[in-house]
Amino acid sequence: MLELAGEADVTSGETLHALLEAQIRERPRLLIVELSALRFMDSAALQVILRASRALRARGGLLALASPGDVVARVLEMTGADRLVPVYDSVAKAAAAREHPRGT
Amino acid sequence: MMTTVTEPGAPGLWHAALFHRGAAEFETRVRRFAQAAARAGAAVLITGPASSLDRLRARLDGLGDRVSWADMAEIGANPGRLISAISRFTDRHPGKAIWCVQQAAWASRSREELWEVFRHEALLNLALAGAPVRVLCPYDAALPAEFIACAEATHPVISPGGRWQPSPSFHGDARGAVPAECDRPLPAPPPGALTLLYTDNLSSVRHAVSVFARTAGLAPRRADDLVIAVGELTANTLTHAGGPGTLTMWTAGANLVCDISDGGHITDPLSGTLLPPPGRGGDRGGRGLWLVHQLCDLVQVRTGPRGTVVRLRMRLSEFLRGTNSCGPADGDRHHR
Repeated sequence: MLELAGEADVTSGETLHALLEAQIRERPRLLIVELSALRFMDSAALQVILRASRALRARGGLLALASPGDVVARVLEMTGADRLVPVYDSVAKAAAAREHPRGT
Repeated sequence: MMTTVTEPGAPGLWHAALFHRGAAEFETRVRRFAQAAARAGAAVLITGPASSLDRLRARLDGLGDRVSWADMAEIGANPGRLISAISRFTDRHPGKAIWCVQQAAWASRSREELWEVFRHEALLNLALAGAPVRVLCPYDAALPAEFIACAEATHPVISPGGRWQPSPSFHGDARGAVPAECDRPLPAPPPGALTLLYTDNLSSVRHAVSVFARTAGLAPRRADDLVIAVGELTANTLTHAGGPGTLTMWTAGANLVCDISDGGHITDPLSGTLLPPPGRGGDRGGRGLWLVHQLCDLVQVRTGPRGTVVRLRMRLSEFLRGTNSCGPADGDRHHR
């Protein structure tokens, strides 16, 4: 699991990419990105997460987002990203995705 | 490339301005259009202000169930969402002909909004060129002459006397031919407007916007929307302008207004009108500008080799029904 806090924007994209890359290299079956302490995310940061999701999927794993706050949830909803990556309102529900994967 | 097709039913984009005199003529012509669409087996989308949709529903007899209705107060209060709304509707009806009635200019529209309506009417010809889409745009013939002239210049087809004919003043070139009136410089911000310079301190700019918006009385959810929009535009400054940017904020009547200006030049006139597919377009700023259009009540872009200013407006009080509850700008509301 990876917990993100603070604000993720174009200025932190490379750091975010490196963090996700390090996790994906371990080839987890399920990588949960916990977002409850993330106060802001712009579309550049979102693209980094979407690319990581595709990379993990190509390795047979699944990236799931958990517990987004209001602003982050709004960005996921407005961009349609919540239809590309599964979003759960808690880590426990995201963990259950291991048994019942969804999202395409 | 565009061809002028005066009769609905031929392949390719058909984009027509209907100048009507009064509600009766408007309703008759829309009903005839919807009947023809039903005979063609097309998917039909009718957008407009809620009051107009209610009247139309009652006049479409049995056809109302086969039509998708979209309240313009939600999907198109900002004219910058119009093209995207049609495109989404098209995506949801693959293989089908798409017929739309797009009522974008209603009586209470401000002049600033009307100029943006005509910008997006012009860009629609470019964005949907070749698509199997018919778009009928009703305009009240009593609109001021300068707006009627703009409608004639941005629609390949017009119907001055009840019959469709090519518009003599339509500029059918591939640039979208936005009328010059739509690109007039924006009035300067008032003295005393809050001004911030930024380079890479984007977080502090967003924080300042959040505080200003809440102090000005913008509802928390709408303040979040403004913060997201400003976040996208300031990120674009960093990515594309290669220099500092300026943010200016003030309130004007019932609006909060926010300018973001930098030295960048947006060269693609369609940037922000359509959501780029996932994984593409993210590096060119189109995705951010698209999001800005979905979140703000009016977006005015003035761009050139010397720089770009994007002016955002958020209504502080709700003039239009439903603006607080807008989800994704789906433009697809089945009424059964």
